[in-house]
Amino acid sequence: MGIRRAVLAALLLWGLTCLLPGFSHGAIGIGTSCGSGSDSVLSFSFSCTASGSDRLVVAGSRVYPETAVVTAITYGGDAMTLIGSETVPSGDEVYQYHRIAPAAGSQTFSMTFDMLVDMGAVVTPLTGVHQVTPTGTPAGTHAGPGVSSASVNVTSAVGELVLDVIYLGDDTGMTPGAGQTQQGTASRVYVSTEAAAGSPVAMSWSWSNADSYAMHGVSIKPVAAAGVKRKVGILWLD
Amino acid sequence: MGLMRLLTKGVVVLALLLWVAGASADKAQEATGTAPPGAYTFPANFSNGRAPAAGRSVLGIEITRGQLTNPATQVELVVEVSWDRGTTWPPDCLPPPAVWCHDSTQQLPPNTDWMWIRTRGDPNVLPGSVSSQRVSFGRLTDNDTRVRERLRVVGAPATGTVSVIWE
Repeated sequence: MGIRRAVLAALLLWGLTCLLPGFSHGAIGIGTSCGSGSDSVLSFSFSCTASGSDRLVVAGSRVYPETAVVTAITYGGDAMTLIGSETVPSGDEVYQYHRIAPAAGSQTFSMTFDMLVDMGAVVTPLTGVHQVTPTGTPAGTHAGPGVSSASVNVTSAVGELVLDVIYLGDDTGMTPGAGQTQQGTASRVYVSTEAAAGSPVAMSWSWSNADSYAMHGVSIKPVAAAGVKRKVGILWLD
Repeated sequence: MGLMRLLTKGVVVLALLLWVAGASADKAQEATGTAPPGAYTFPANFSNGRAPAAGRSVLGIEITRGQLTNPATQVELVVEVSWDRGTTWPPDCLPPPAVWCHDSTQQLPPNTDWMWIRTRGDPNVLPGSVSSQRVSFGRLTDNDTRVRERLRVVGAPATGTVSVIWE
């Protein structure tokens, strides 16, 4: 009887902690990124593979000139949603887009513009992501010319994954900040991730030759919180 | 002293060769000249494709733009990848009235990938510039990798050189 009570108490405690902000029992998985760099194009496409459950794909891209308009962006033929963007005046613009529940397997990522552009894009497949509200509040920054490091604070929470994109003209010696993992690069577009240990998470990069940059980041929310309430209900019913 | 100088020279030349080998990108010219509007495929043995070097992470395509000056000219360049020695390829081009060969709703079978760019002529194009794309599919080429290309020209003839790249 005592053991049964102890087990029930432990389960109840586990369930309640899952309801509290900042607790999570799921982990966001990171797939293999794909990247492309193109010059003087009206549109471009390439294929990338996402698999697993509760999928999300996030595209980090850079477009030059910044006056170009993205007229279409799709993954697997489905429109992607703009998370946010950051611009270097009279220069480049970096974007982050996402697609919730993209089709599994090898799918085509595509961007189309209203003028000829130079661009780079890195697509990162994720799993274990909240399928209704996958992203938090985005943040962006730009500076230069004449700087050799960048940092942006992204609002996040324990259990979330922060994902950033940065572009600069001269990427010699490009190095992600401590705790960040570089996921992919294409045409001087870099994408990295860091598991959040709290909030905010400072995403940073440094490089050798002073230049201007644009950087954007967002926190990705895990799916776990949605399923936990159901488990607590079962506990009380039992 | 002469021997030392010779050895030093040898080391320098060897280092240079190793650097060039390590940084090399293979580029194969597929076609050059003027192409009237229409559809074209490369290489000559299109159904088998071309075997790129193994261990490369990036595949690319480019067309020179120096003579691509007519805004009426639109060009699509496609690279199709087979990871199983050409047994499986991406789906065929869409039938007319589709203007372009592929669209992003087409489903890719396992062991295939693709990429494409679309561009147009520009009277203000800078000499020596190219329209190009380089893609990292997240896996390295190996001895089973095959690539082939498609060119579609729309509106007015296109003049230039088409190349495929792996690096």
